[in-house]
Amino acid sequence: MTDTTETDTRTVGSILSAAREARGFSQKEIADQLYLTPSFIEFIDADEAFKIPKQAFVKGYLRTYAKLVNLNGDLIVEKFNADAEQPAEIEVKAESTDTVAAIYFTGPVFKTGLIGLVTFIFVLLIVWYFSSGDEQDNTIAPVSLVEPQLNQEPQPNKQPQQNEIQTLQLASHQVNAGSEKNASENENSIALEAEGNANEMIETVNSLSSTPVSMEALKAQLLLAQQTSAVNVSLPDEPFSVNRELRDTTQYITVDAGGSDELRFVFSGECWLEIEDAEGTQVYADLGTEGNNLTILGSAPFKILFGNAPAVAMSFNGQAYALKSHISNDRTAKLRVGI
Amino acid sequence: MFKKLRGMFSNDLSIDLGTANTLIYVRDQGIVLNEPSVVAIRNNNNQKSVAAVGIDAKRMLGRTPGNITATRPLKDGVIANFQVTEKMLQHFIKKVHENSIIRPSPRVLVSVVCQATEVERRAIRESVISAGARDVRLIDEPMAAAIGAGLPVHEAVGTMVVDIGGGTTEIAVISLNGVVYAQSVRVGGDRFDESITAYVRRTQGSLIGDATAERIKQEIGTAFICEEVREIDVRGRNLAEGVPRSFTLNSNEILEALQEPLSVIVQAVKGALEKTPPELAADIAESGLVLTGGGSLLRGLDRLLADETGLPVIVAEDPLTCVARGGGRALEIMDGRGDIDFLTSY
Repeated sequence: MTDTTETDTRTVGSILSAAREARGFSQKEIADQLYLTPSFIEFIDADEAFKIPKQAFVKGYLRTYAKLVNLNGDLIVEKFNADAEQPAEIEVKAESTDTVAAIYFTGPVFKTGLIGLVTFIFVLLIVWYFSSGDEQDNTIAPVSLVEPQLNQEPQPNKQPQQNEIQTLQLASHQVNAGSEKNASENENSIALEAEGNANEMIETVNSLSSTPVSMEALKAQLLLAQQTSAVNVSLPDEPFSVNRELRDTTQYITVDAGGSDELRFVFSGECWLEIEDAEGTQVYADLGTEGNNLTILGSAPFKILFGNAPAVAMSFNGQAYALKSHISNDRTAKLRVGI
Repeated sequence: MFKKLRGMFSNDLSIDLGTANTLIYVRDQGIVLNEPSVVAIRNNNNQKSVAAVGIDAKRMLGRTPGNITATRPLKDGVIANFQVTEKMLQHFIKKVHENSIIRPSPRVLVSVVCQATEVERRAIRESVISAGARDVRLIDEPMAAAIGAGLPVHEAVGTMVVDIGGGTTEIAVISLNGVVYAQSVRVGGDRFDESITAYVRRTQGSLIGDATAERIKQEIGTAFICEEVREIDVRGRNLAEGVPRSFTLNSNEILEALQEPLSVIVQAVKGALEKTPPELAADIAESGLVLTGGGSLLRGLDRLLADETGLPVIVAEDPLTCVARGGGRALEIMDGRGDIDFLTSY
């Protein structure tokens, strides 16, 4: 094997041809020994190996050629690679990064990850949609049941809420009235009526009726609107009144739901309270604060729900009622009284 | 479902399940495992358990006590012992995924001998699946070797690959991603070793082990008369005296020893050339045939084949790992392009 440090500056072709001549071989003789076409050897000697038709074989030819003239085939191939890379570097790089990127972005990991991400976002959206819908119902329904009965002394911090409720009520009345009319009118006027109502509470109806959708869908929405409004509107007709008065620091609230049984609550802290009477009508649903004194007149049995039961003392028809046994771990209590 | 999930944490593998050595190529990592296909089985009151796999097991070959047997589960390129092969693959796949917490479930590409029957292919597929693979594809060994050697397999040009493995020599003519003609002879590196052992017994009257025979082949083995004659000192047990003796062998003696297996390979290559369609034969005559596999590292083998066939013969770069690398490349092509036609689906 010849010294390679000396030959480093020369090209592969010149190294090989020099070694060949040193051993006294002609190109033809080399070609005969390797069973190659003489032109291939000419190309290699002239550093024009790219002219050989099958590039995959060139390195093999170089190796066998080098072996024949007693050179190290691996070193020659290494040098050939280094020489070949220099001019074609940019092209090769562009191609290689492209394929790598393509493989990377079509890999199973990437695909699965993408699908998983989309599914996760979808589920998140669904959960958010439904939970936000629930909250709306919760905030509007109990207040609209009770607040319309307020006669006096509206609490100042509840003022804006009350206004809102009144508009809501008005709107729902309109829906009710509109839906009664609808029965005798044709479908087109249903759409108009729904639009005219500009109902804030049922936004979906509005958005649907203003866009061209099928009549069946519209009808279904209106039916839904009728049902929801009917529930909300019928309640204020119940014959019970709320009376609030402030004496010293104690607020006395009396709710008269038209019955002979009396429930009395004394609040020593904040507690949410819901009471249903014998007919299943919600008589009271509000947050009681410290110092409140609540009296409910109605017909037993009552169904009562406490949000924070330890903060309330209850008496039924003048008799103290022990809540302790009903309080659950999360401080709530659910009970029936006067069965 | 869980297999798929686990698959995200495992790498795609290309396994060259050879008679002598098993190589595993991992995508983006290269060859990560190169171990002999040997399993040592411990037999305790008919309760069989795996004692060692791979290199550890190979060290036990011929040195085992009565209750341990070191076996090669593959023979002539196909599975000879189904359960042991499964255990071995399980061990290798686990070894490749050493640092992952989740049990691996990789996609595996296995190269099989061209001449393998449906039953043998199925056996390989089943054993790889029971070793924990998620998906198994089979590829013809010469095809993988050709891809690994960087040959233009997808072009309408004939190329001949001679893959000399441990147990078999595969000769295939490839064109347009397909094997046009294939032949395999059950001669490979192991047969070379056996021939050397037999020769030494005949001429020196001494018995040498497989490992020594392999060392002789690697160090001074040649297939063609060389100008420089190499020598090696070896020790073997003298058959007549029964004691270990040291003696010297030279490369010409080994050349003589290897004549018989080499002639089988040469005849097979000639036979393949005869049966190659003329257009492809013309292509091969122009560009030559390519040697891959560990056997092609035998000195002068390319010269021998070139002289015998009158065709240019080249040895692929890094011939030992050609098949495994080619399989890995095939996996990459598969990912880029979906399914590819050179994978056998059964």
